[in-house]
Amino acid sequence: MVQGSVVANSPLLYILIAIGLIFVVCIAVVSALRASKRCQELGISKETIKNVVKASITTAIVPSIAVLLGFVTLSVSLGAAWPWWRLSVIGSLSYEVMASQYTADGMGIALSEVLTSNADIFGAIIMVMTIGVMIEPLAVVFVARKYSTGLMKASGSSDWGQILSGVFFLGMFAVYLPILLFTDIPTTMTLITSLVVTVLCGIASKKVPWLGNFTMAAALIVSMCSSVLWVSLVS
Amino acid sequence: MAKKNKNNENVKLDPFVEWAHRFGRITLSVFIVYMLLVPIITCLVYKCFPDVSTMVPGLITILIIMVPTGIAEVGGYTPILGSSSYLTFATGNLMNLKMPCVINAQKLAKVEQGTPEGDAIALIATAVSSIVTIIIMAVGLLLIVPLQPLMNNEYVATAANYIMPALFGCMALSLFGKGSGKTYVKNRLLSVALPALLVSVLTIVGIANAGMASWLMLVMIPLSILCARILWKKGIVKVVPVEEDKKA
Repeated sequence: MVQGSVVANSPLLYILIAIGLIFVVCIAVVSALRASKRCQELGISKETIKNVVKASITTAIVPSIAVLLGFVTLSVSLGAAWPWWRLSVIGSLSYEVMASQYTADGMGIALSEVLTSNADIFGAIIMVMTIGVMIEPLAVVFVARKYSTGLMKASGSSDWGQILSGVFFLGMFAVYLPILLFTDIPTTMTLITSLVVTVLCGIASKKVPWLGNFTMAAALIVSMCSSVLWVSLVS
Repeated sequence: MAKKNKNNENVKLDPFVEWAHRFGRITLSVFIVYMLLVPIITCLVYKCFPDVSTMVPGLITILIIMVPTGIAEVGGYTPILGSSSYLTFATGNLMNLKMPCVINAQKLAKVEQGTPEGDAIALIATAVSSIVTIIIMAVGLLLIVPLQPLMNNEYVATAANYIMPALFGCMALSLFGKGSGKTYVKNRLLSVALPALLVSVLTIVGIANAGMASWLMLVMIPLSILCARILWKKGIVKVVPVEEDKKA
């Protein structure tokens, strides 16, 4: 009997994952270069593009560290390779934890026993997690072009189109903001702290323009650190 | 593909947007196939291909959750992400990473969503943030042993649990303001007043929570569109030139 840990830590799995990640990095690099060239053609200055890159790097660091936390948690039950793959691309922190848990439950086994059980169980978990997450990318392949370009055209051609294209953004906030505001006090206070830091950075960036590129990163760090204080005050 | 607008002029799609969609569809299709091949090759080589019947219960549970979530996320986020949807959905971490990066980048560059400029900026933000995550995860993999005590630290774990309110606090400001276009939608927040009120009530009475957000979006986005349509017909929500509004 091959144990789950043998497959989970196999060089083959690492190699396959590394190839996949290199492929994604190549797509990202080509996309960024082409988009940057188009931005310049559309009159967006090099300086602005540089600022967007800097801001995207700094904004992505803090959430990526939170994802890293999920990776460390998942690696205990699924080995390091599979969570590395899933959390570097395709998956999200919440989905990966949930999917692995439900698959293990469905097979009548504790997640903590996957690595020490027969490799078939590890095989089933990685297959189910893969199939389960495919709905969104498949839907994007089939509908994204017509859907988003249709809205883009409508937005440029009629008043209703312009209103409609903005409603999706507002609708997202209409769902998330009330949930985050009314769930519990630490969540509300973290949100307010983040908002206040963003406003303060916005005011400060009028005198110190480069600060504008780091507003989101600063707000994330300060507000997430503040959550520890809010939690301890409430408890 | 050309479409006529209200002035009977042809609306052509930006060549970059055309390219980005074509490139995105091809690369995402290849990636989907590769993503399936990773577990298949691994299971075949190690002779641990699972019995299909053992996968069914877990798969059904996940699909019950993922199908509506998928419809809501693709339906709700694709119009915001535009041609960067392909890379975004390939690299995941949508709400907790990609969306904030895109919104922040568009705000910084003073470009509008749903325009060629907004699309190109969104693609840069998505690409850069995807690379950052991949690098951080690779570093994490190499340093997993020394990182473990830090990552298991109580305070770090608490802070990580509050990433969503932290992100939405930063992004909330983008709800206000008129954007950088020549026109803006006046009273646009009224379109989502009813959905926001409903979600508030559901949250206060303990029915709604963060885990239900995608399900709620399935209902609230169509409701927001309906409200916007009614308010537009009544002339309450309307498109106004920025300059004209300043004079008023």
